[in-house]
Amino acid sequence: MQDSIIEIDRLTRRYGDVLALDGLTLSVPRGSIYGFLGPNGAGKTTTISLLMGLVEPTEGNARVLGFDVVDSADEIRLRVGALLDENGLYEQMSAYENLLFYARVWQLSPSDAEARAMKVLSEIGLWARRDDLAGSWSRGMQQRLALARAQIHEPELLFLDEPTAGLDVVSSREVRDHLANLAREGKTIFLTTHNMAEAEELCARVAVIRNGRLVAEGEPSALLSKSGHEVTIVGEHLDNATQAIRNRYDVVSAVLEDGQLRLRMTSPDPSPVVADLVAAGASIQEVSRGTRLEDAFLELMGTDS
Amino acid sequence: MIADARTVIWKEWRSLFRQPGSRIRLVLTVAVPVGYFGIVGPLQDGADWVNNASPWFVAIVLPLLVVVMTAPDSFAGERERKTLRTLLASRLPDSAILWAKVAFSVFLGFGMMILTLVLALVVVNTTDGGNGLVVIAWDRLLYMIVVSILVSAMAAGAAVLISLRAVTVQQAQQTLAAVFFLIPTVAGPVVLLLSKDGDHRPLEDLFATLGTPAGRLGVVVGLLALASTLLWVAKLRFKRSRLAA
Repeated sequence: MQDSIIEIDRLTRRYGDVLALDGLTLSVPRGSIYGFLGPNGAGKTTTISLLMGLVEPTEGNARVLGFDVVDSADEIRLRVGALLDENGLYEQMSAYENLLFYARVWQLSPSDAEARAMKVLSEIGLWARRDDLAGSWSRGMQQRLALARAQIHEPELLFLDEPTAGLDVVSSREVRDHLANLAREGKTIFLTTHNMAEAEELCARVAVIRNGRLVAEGEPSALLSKSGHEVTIVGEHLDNATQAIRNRYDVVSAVLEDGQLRLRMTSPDPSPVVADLVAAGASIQEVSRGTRLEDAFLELMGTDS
Repeated sequence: MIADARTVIWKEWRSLFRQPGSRIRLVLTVAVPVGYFGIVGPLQDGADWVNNASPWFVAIVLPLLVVVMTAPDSFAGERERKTLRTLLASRLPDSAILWAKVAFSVFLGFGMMILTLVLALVVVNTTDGGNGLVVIAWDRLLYMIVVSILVSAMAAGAAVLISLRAVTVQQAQQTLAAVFFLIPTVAGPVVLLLSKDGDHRPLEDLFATLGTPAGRLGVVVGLLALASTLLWVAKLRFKRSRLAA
């Protein structure tokens, strides 16, 4: 059985009448990126706050790195790093001072603090601009700096709350590459995101929550197969041929629209269907497999809990 | 705890003069009073300056100004600038954050007071010190220092409580300024006027007793009780779980 770094058991949090998290139970394996997906207000940030001991659960419990989130929250915060929904940078301090401050917070010696600050700033390609005020940087650079700050004390576990939200394509790519490097180094990352492509690319496992409740959990490929595989076929004479494949066991739905046939299939391999279409007189020009985690996510969001 | 507090104070010091508009605000609210009480007043009063009420303004008004300026910026400012949650997500204990920020404001005010007193004494001795060294009597000076620190601590406690409820730094600063400057300025003369009963002036008599040893002790005990209560309530309210929720 895989070693778990986070164990959550029926974790519940209420804010007055609002149930922000409702009996969440899951286990996060060590040494990979764990995606935590859900729409706004689903309970993602509340979950991170609970796991870091920033707020206390109304019911249930959780252990992070073996420490109870209520009784040993200080021990957890000592050992984890976080990039929360706001980057938390002191904009009137330089990038280097921001890092030195948090290095001092984690009680690194002055020489270690300087060495770590240099290392993490170099890793994100910003060492040359260390004396710039953090507030003068672009959002993408600030986000990379905040990510560097979260690792200044070399935590075993990182909580990242939508680290690429609001970033342009290039900055998002840089952050994702950095996260992938961290995962290769064996760090565990608890990543909340809206970006399904990001989750699909980075995460070894994902959990999907909605209205504070877990609606799916597993490897992205498992979620995809639950949702089905979407195939788009472009060609000619598809009208009659479509009737021929509707009753296939592996075709869930077939919709012909604007000369494109959209299939949802239980199997990831569309070639037998394509063969049937050709046999029925269709001329096929293009076949694309379009099912992404986003489709699975949207389907899960549409599922009544 | 001490090391953690030192770290927070280091950060407060680094960011003190760098907030937008903070330099001009500090010049207007601190440098101008320092210049007036430390240079202009002593030049006008000469050696009499050490025995009149001016040193009391230096001991009370200046530190209050500093606390009113810096404490809300330190507490409400962290929230307004969206740095508070990250700070709370660190390993720093709540108490280290609270006491470091309180201590920073109080000792900044204290330092400003000492600087102004020294400046004033230099001016007095340079311009009107012909009859020997002019100094403030040691017992008066000690009393002033104790009262100054207690008033600053009391204001810092109030600043924490007000900052926790205020939406912005400016709102917290305005509320504090109203509590410590506007209300006493407006209400003081009115109360004095209303308390007059013919030639009998009970409030002025009360103030006169504050100069006696028993009166001084009463002032110190009263301020100590008030400052302790406010700081204790501030400590109760400055909780991670409340701030991060």
